[in-house]
Amino acid sequence: MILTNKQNRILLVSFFLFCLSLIFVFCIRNNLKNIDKEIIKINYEIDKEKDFIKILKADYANLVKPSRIENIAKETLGLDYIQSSQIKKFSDLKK
Amino acid sequence: MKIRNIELSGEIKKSNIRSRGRFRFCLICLFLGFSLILLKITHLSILYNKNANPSVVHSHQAKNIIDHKRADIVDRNGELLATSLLSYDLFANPKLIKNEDKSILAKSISMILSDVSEKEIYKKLNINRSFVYLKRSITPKEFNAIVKLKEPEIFRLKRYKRHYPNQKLASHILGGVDIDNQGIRGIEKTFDKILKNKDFINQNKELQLSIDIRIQKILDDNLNETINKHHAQGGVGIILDIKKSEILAMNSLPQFNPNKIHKLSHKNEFNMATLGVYELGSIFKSLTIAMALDKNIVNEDTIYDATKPLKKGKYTIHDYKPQKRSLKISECILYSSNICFAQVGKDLGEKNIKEYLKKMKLSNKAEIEVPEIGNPLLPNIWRETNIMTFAYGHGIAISPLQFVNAFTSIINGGNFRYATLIKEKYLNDTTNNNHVISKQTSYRVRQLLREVVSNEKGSGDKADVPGYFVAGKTGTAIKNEYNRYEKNKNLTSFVGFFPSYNPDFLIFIAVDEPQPIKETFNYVTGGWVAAPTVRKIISEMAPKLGIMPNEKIEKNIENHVSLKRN
Repeated sequence: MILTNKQNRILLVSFFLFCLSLIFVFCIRNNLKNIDKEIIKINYEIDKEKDFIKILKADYANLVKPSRIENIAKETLGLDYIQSSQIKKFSDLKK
Repeated sequence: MKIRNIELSGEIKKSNIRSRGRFRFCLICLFLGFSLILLKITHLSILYNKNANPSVVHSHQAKNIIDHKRADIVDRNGELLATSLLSYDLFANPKLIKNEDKSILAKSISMILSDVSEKEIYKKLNINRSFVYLKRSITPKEFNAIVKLKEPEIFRLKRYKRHYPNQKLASHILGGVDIDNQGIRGIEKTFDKILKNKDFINQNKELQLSIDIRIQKILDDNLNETINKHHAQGGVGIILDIKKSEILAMNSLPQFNPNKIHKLSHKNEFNMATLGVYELGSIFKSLTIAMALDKNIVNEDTIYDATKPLKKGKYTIHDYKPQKRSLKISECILYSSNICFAQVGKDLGEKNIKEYLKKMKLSNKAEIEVPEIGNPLLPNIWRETNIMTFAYGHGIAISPLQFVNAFTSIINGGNFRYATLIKEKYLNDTTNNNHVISKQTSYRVRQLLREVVSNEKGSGDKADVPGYFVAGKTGTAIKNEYNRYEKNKNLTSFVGFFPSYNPDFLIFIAVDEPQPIKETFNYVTGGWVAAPTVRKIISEMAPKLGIMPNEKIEKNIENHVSLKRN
């Protein structure tokens, strides 16, 4: 009886649409929650990787530190610092 | 009104209209109610979540970790100097550990953590608290072993620990942090806020210093070698890029290991380069000559009487190597004659000296990016003796860094600029209003100082490196301790730069209380102790920096490197 009225029908359709939009928003919310969890997880992973990179960098700095390179060069290759006297310009060499 | 073709009228019609009104009213209320719920849900799920910081979700412990993190410090080539690494602290809740387990637990833990005694652990486990650190900074291996003890009331706490891969190298520059990662010395203290800034850290930014760790190593090795060879108390070294006013290396020995900052001693924590103030002796003559030349009080050919020691009241001014004749000013600096320079100082006068001291910023504290800076000591009243002794570097105590700043201003064309530890600090700085001496005077000073090194009679001839046109000045200052000059205690130094015709690099070396050795014929002067060190440093650092020796010089620069034309 009520549905025969045009205005009532519009109201019911809009109510139905409203419910649909509500479900849609809930879905988005749920999705966002999952994305948030994912973001936290990814950020945690990023931080973990950053820390790992830092350890690698520190390791690398330890490996290439001048004192270590100097010792290795001396012990294994018998090399020393290049002295300025060992360097000549081509133009300074006599023909 | 009709409902399903039934004509309504009267009371029924009115009632029907009212019921429809009520229905619409209910629908509108429901609509508004759901709209409000929808708005709230939208706010919660979109706006609230957008602002939510993941760190808020984390525990207090996680927040603490972020707070303690510090940005990296790198050298001018991007080599890592200081970083923050994840570390673990071991702690326990003694209140919940059974008393009968404590002694066994203490024994087991002390066996795993080799540097902590059983007694110490047992004492900590018996403290009536719910949180006790058993050891700060344990390795994952140690923790894994502790986990196997299956004691539920022992935990680990994550935190960031500052790590310096180069150990002692550049420790006085970098400084250090305390157990809570707060900067307490050096660059770490000066840039504490920036290094702890979360935005700075999150953007992966680094603090880039002007120092070159390779050059720092060369300076460290050579200075150490000299100190050991001469059984000296300590030493200072500064290497500066003159054109950029950037410090490439700065050292004060003895130094400390910033990774073990708790083991600091009064001796190794003292930064001689910036905090210590000393009477530097004859290297000061380079500043005096610059002042006198700039004021036209002397020229290269002005003659001073150096035939006999100069008597002034109860003091007698001697020369280390007396020439016993009259000397031209160029010879005065060549032989480093105190007698000559005392007279130059007298001619220069108090007013001029004070003017240049102000221009060279020697009357104020130096400015640099470390907090350890010494105050210069100047005479309160400038008597004639003060003026005379000032001219050859006595009666005024300044820090080596202050001297380097002043010396740079007299050889770089006459402009003063504070040396910096930050890379490219002056990159866009084109304004230079701190004019000290004229360009022409600077050129003449460089000529005179080149002669000190290039001439075999010069006091600094042992600093010469063929092809690099080294110039400089030696210094041997008798140390003043408790207002008394100790004749057997010297501070020997050398300040050099190269190439003399267009200076790029400056090297300052000072050795504290070197002892006589046979190799140097028992001489403990700047020429015998510091100058050879500078030579070694230049010959090692020049190839590293890709500076080629210039054996053949062009005619137009020949005049810059020799006074023989005179």
